[in-house]
Amino acid sequence: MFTKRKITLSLILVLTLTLVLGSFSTVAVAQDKEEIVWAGWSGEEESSAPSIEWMMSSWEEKQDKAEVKWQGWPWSEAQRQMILRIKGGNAPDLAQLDVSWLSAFTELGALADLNNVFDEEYLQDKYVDSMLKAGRMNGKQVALPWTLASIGMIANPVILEKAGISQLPTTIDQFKKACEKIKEYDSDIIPYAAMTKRGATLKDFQAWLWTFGGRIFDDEGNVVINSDATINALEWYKEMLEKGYIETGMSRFDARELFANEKVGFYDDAILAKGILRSKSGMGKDFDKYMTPMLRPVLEYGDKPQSMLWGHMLVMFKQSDKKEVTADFMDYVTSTEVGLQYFENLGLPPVTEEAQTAKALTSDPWAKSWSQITKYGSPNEFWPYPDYAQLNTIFGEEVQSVLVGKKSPEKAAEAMEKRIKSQIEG
Amino acid sequence: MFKNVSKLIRGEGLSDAQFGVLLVLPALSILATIILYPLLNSVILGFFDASLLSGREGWVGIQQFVELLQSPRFHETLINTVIFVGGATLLSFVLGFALALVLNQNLRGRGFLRGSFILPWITPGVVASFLWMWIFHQHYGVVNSVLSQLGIIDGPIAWLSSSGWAMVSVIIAKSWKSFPWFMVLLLAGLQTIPDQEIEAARIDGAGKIQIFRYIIIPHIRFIIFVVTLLGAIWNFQHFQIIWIMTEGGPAHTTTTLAIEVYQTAFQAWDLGKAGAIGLIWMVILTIFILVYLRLSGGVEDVSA
Repeated sequence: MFTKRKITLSLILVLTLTLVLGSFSTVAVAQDKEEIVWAGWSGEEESSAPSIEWMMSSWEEKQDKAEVKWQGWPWSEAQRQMILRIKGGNAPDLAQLDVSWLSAFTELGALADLNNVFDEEYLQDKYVDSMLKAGRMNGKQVALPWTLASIGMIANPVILEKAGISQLPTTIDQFKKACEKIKEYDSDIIPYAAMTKRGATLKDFQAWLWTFGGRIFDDEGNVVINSDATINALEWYKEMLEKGYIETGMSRFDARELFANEKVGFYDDAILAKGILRSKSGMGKDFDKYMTPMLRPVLEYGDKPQSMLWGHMLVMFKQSDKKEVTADFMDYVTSTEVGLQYFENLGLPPVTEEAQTAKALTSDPWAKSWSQITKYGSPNEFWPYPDYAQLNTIFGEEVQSVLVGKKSPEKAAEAMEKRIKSQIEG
Repeated sequence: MFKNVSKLIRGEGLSDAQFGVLLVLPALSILATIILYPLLNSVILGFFDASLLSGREGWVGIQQFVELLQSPRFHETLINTVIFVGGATLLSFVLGFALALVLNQNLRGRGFLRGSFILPWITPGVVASFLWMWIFHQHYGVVNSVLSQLGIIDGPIAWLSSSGWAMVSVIIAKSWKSFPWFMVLLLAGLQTIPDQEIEAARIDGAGKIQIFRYIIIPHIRFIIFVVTLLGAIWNFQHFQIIWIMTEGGPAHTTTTLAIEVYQTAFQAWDLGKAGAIGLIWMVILTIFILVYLRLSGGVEDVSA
């Protein structure tokens, strides 16, 4: 009994201590400054992290009201993690979003209406109109543009020259011939590092689908992907694989690594590829001669070269109780001064009207070439849908099924239509 | 009231068993909250049309279950799960048992070898996954490099992005991670076999295979049964190696139930359907457990 008493008393003591200690949250030293939390992925990437760090520290130096704390994840996890935090009542104050995620976050009802913190006229004067519109959902301004361009193609002119290719291919036939010549020149070089790995980057195939005249939806929103154009595009992709011009299992990460090591002739990437490739190659600006943007080859002369719009937006969450100071930071990060520095660091185009005429932008060959690519850009056809990620997965999975020989192009096109319809209709 | 509390503290009026229950009650309550609540919530979600984005929208009854069970894609997921569980469990068992038999011998450096073979088991799962992803990498991987130098292959094989090899690759990676656990338990079992029985069998002229078949196996049959069944149950729930190496691809060929639930909940945001998949999964696992409970009594009796 004496032992039981001791055990019971010890247990009560341990439980009490646990409760007491567990109820203390991390003791915060009394601060004069507020802290706003900025979530995203660019701060996790080697090439962009210094720029993000600079944005935060330079803003903190300019004012003494608040500090910024970064909360980051890899791009592939960022959307999921943010949604889970919002559902858990632990949303950051602001976040970097991929432009394709806006519909999901709008469906979630998590985004603050920025017209409550920014004057509408001020925004219209500050930003390029088409870029500002990209942040409007259901009549509300839910996001500020941070950078907008498109996914384009990048070629290695040094490899092309060595392979005997005198100019960038402009048609599908020329592109195939160029791939053939690269393969003959050096069989270790992958002519075209097309996105073929399971994951979000298989959406790149949409641009080829458009090149062959195919669409996923018609103007009325009906699913029309099961078409001859889709089948032709899939057959072409399969042929490219069989000839060894593309490979399976290629992700954007792999393609960048291989391109930076001069093992790839062509690949697809966003405008920020310049900064990433400079960093990955270890050559810095000396690597510039090994990369050049190019328009996507067309099926027939006179067709429009296709590209998929791409961009990053900044949003503020309804849950934030520091909306004014957060708005101040968002305004700063998207300013002309910061935008042009970001452009110099990473090649990401700024979004203000003022910056469009800046010499740094207009005299940069990379940016000029890319503006031609973006001129013909179209949004990913799945953007308006909150389950955009799953629709992309369906699309990519069926493309993959053709590449691995699991389905014929006809069966894959049929399955795409059936599954996309089923997903949309719920 | 204070007298009763005081009596309780002094342990008066309570048997040892009752006192023991009292001691574990706080931990049990926490466990029930952490496990029971999410479990019940997930089960209930399967009967609703529920989205992670827009919340619970309406009762749909068993509609989601019927759709799943009629879906060829879900059938494919089930088949992938059976292949993965069967392959990973069998390979882990064979490797683990073979090494247990070797380490049961009186070898020099046996202690060091036993310690070394535990390493895969203690390697963090994410680290092991990335390790094998790089080993099987089409361009930078060791496997292609070695096979190429030996002249076995002409060009690199896309292990993780070809429909047949992807499943083989994840099975190998999972087996590497799991075999030490099989090895440790089977070795413990082998060490309970009396040396005199084996010696007597040898004197009677029994060969190694006969000793293995008629003495070793009967003695450790219960342990073999338990480790195999538990290994299968854990493989049924495995997620990280497949997700990191292939994300369930290419073209759904390595998507198991664990991957399907994750994609349904966190890509399609469809919590209702994910809950339905989870419940079907739980039913299948329950069958395993019932088999284990039913047969383990019989196997143990025979072994004893």
